Amino acid sequence: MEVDLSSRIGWSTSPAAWSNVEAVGLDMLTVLGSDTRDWLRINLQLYAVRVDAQQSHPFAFDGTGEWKFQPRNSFLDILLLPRGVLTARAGHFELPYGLEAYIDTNGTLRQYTTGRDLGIKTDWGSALTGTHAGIEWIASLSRGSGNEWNGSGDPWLALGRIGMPLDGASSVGLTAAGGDIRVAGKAPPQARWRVAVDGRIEFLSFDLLGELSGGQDEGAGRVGGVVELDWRNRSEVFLGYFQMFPEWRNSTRGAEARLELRSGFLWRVVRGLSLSAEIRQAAAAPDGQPHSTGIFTQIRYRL
Amino acid sequence: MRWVLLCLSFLLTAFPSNADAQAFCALRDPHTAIAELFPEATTHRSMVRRLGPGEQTELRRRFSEDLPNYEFGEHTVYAVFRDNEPLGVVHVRSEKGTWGLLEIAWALDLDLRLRAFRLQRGYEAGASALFAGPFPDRVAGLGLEQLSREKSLGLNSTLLVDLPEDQKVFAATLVQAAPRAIAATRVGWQSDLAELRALAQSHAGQGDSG
Repeated sequence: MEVDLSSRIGWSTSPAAWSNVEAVGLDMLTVLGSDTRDWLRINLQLYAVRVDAQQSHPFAFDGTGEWKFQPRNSFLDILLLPRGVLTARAGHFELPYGLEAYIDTNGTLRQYTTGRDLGIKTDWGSALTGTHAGIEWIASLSRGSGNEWNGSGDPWLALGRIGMPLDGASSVGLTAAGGDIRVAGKAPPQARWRVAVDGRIEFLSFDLLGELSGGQDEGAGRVGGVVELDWRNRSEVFLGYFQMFPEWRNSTRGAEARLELRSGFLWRVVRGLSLSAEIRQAAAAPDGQPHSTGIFTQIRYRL
Repeated sequence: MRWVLLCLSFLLTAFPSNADAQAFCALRDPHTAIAELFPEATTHRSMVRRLGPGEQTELRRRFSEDLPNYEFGEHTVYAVFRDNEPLGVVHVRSEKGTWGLLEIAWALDLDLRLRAFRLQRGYEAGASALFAGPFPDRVAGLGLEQLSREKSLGLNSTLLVDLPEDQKVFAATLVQAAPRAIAATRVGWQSDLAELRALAQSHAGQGDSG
């Protein structure tokens, strides 16, 4: 069992405001089985999170500084067939959308597109997953309400993904998702669907990752994605990255194009302690909307 | 918050400490590696153990191998079975490569002789050619003592003889890393290995009597 403490401070020009996010949680994994095979895996990440924000903040929070319960990845895996061929999952889990299926972005500044595309990043529900002959797949049906179980308006979310495992120097994946989703700041649930193709290639000390997705939000078309180039040192104590998030969408105001650039680093100072920082710049925004800049820093300690 | 505190209290008391683990790395079982290293296997079982200062001291004292402080924590070794017969174990460990960390899956038999290995993550020049060449057969079947002896020879190791230059660096990394993987398995999973050997013996006994 590990204790995880983190504090994040952010500042953004649009609207000019400070934000603080504090998190404290327990992270544990237990595997239960017979003499010759695993049967049950219990993964629990139970956090208390507090958000003080004058700017945008996660859906479950109102930015008033109240501590709230956040279950993150807390689920039960029943290993129905051995060797990972078929596993049933139930609980609250990170949606394996696009590149997020590969990379741990839980409580980190470095993020990909799940939140942007689906409106939520984790959800309550169940899934079947398996791996065989170099292919991993997952099919999930979830509440569509994110962190909170009690979603009004009968939200739901179905997601399917097939791809290559993280093993090896390169991989590709295909994700499809759709449902009526409780999206941050929007009520009632919003009809959304997405199809995304993602890939990564590793060369020397660099990783090149990319994802392209298309779909609709309440009938309005949307195409977006992310391209990331990252670099790590030999001992992987330091990771630096540069990301581009292009987006084109149809709205009541017509076609809109956006481009956000993000650059940051993660430095594992000593065992358990890490520092990270990220700068975010809106390089292109629709007419009348500001080209905002944001700077975020985080200190994290896992005991 | 009261609900959270109740849950945390339950968790702290309900789960044995030796079953805990780091969630993220442990969540991905090396299914592909196990299938490749033990193609005849039908099941595997996770054996999660904590490596700390005690194991570090023992590794240094008995085997002249090191366990860096950043490796303290929970680690998993997978016991591999064909039906109910234990075949060996798979231990996935990180080693510094030329460009970053290399994740190497080591397949060991129950006497901790090296059976095979696989580069699970990381880039190293000449890796594919090395795996396709004579090197895997040269190291297969070697135990801790032989590998430690080869390790002490550095680039003069007999295991590296005649290897093309572009494969030599990675091969040398493997020769340096293999004794550490075996020694760490021996120290950290001693009781598990004893159980597996007993199970294998009983299985062999059943086969003989049948």
